[in-house]
Amino acid sequence: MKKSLCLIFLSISTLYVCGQQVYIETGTAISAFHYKNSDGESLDNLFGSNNLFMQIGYHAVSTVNRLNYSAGISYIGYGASGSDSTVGNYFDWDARYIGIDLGLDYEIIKKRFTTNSLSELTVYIKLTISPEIMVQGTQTINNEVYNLAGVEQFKYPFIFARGGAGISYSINRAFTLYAEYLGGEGFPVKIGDRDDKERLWIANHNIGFGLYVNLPSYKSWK
Amino acid sequence: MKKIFTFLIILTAVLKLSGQDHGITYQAVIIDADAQEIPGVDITGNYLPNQALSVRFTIQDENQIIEYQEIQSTTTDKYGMINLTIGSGTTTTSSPVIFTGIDWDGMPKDLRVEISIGESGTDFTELSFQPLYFVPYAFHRNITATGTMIIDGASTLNSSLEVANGSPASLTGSLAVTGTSTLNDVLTVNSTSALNGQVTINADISGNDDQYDAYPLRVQGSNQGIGITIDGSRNSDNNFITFWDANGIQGRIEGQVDADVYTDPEFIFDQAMFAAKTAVQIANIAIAAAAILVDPGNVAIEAANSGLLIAEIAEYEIFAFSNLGVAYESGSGDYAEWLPRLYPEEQIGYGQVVGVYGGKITKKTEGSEMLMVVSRSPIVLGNMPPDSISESLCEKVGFMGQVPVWVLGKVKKGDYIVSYKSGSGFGKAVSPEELAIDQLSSVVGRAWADASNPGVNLVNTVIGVKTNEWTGFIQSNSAEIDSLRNEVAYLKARIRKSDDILSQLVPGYREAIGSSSAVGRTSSADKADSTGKSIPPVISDKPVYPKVMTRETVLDNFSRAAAFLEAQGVDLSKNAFYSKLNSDPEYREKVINTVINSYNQACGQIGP
Repeated sequence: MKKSLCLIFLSISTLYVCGQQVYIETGTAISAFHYKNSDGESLDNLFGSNNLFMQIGYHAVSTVNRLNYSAGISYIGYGASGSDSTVGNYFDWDARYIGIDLGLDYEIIKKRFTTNSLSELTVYIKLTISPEIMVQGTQTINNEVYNLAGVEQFKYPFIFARGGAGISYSINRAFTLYAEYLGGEGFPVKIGDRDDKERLWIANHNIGFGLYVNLPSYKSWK
Repeated sequence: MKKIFTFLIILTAVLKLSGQDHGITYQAVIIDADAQEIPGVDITGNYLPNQALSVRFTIQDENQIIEYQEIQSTTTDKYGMINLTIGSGTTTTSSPVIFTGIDWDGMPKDLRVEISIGESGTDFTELSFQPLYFVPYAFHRNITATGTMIIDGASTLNSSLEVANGSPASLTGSLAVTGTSTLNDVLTVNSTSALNGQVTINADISGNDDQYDAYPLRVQGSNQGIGITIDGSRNSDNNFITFWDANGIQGRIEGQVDADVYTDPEFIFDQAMFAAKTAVQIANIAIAAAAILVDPGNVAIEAANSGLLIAEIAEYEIFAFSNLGVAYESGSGDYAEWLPRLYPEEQIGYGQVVGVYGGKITKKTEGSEMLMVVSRSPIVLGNMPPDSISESLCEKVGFMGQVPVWVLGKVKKGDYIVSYKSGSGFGKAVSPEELAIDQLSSVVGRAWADASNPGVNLVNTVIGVKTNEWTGFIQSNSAEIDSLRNEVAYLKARIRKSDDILSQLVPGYREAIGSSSAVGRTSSADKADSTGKSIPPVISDKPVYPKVMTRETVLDNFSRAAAFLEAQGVDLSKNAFYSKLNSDPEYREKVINTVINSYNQACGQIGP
């Protein structure tokens, strides 16, 4: 894990940085559990849930034309609920993860409406990879609540890979508003028993709104 | 399901005996012991719905020996529940009996339940193993057992027990009842019975005395009747049987002891007779002693007679005291028998004198075979008429004992009661001094009561026993014989003296009469008379009348009496007295002592 993170940072640091921003983003994280038990059977009646996510990070413009990269810290909630009609069980999950979010975005459309205007509309696509670890979580089974800390499928970090698109608008030299959608799936980085076929994936769709704050060194490409 | 399930029982298995069928209901919910896998914490404790499975029930004893085993196939319902009845499954080959053959002997038993998931029914996993207990309600509530109920352990019934519907109750062991028992129907006891308490038969029955069913107690089924054993030795205070009626005790059967003999009227009478005989015999000995010079042999004969009398007294007393048994006591005093009337239409009442003709009676006594008296209430009544002869044609005629007799005129105790020849049925009293010899055949009995009424009296009279009416005549005749004997002896002496004188005076006289003593007492050498009969020998020429009886005298007298009896043709080896005397030393000593005492007492009564 540490090796992967170091390689990512070394790759990014080799890029020439010509503009820097910090960002803050929040929105809705729609999550769903993809689960197969030891017999490879999935759960029926398993539904997703909505949670809040927040992210703060650093966004920089690389020397490569229209390619930007970002790194941030995310705080995101995942959850699901379901029931078993055969034996009448009800269960849901509510877990909070914190992760390091690394992303690359490519501006596919960049339009300045007037020559002198600082307002600029940008449409971009974005890929992120985000190792996350649960910091708090509970599971409810038939009115009984269990702590998910250290529980199988939740005790190891997940790596989320997301992709999506966004749109940003610079309202002045200092601030840029953006909205984006990122969807992807998280995979556990470690499986306790390789022979055990029990698996959990977390599907995630984030719809967020954010604000870039241009740092003084920020220089947009012309 | 691929995994092997283990299961838990979460509902109580309810055991009860079914009302119609044999079996134990068994209900359980099958729980999936494997957790349901979901993300995070798995779910445990899920029931197992709609699952086909087989259940194997095993009932085994405390030593884990299988007493019963069966398998049932079933499917859980949507709540994972199964409802089965142990006893309705398929018995396995390991089961020694079917369910109804289980021996519920009260010893500990366990129920092992095993299940096999699926329909194969081969791979069983133990579900539960628990001891079988009684159903708590069965302990506290009513129990209705429509089938056979077997209780092998001790049972305590704290309330009443009723066996209804006329059902029989059979006990193969002993029955102990502490409280009162009431049997409202026939009781049959097929074995020996012991009743340790008083028994009262209060039968509400009635009938005539000739009806067997009229008797509350009937003893039958053996060639013996009733045996009665009383505590301790018998005596007059211990009654074997006592008879009551509305007026109290009317009779009893009791034990006899020596003291009872002395108060027995017959014994008293016999003693009086022996005393009289002894007095006569002493007189005879005195007479013989006085004439000893004339006939010394007569003294020996009387001595022998004395010995026989003494022996007779001794034998009687021994018999009287060694043959005590039970006494039949009653207010009645005679033994009687039913005898038919010679003339059925003749009216004969109790106390009347009757004559007997060929076993039939009539009041006409003249020419009868014997005289008897009709009894009023005999203690023993024999010769019961057969069914073909009505009792109304018979009378209870006294044979022996005390009976009341209708007597005309006054009566004194000891008077003889003789019959009238008129056929009136009355008797009359004749004093012993006035009794004529021609009246002897008319003697009925002897009065034991006085009667001062000059008219008709009902007098208690003893009949059927020796009333000694002949004694006076015999004594008188004996005295006459003795007188004649003395005269003969005197005449013999005179003739012998005359012969001696004539022999001296008349030559050839002695030769003419052919003897030195023409008239003399027969010598002891004369052994037989013309008939060949032995003549009593002269045992001794000395007088044997002692003043005091000694042992030697008694033995000498016994020897003399034996010789005398043998001369009379008596076989002493067949004589009970002499046989016992010679063979039983204890008896011999007892007789000798009794003779000595009796003789000396008699001599003391008579005087020197």
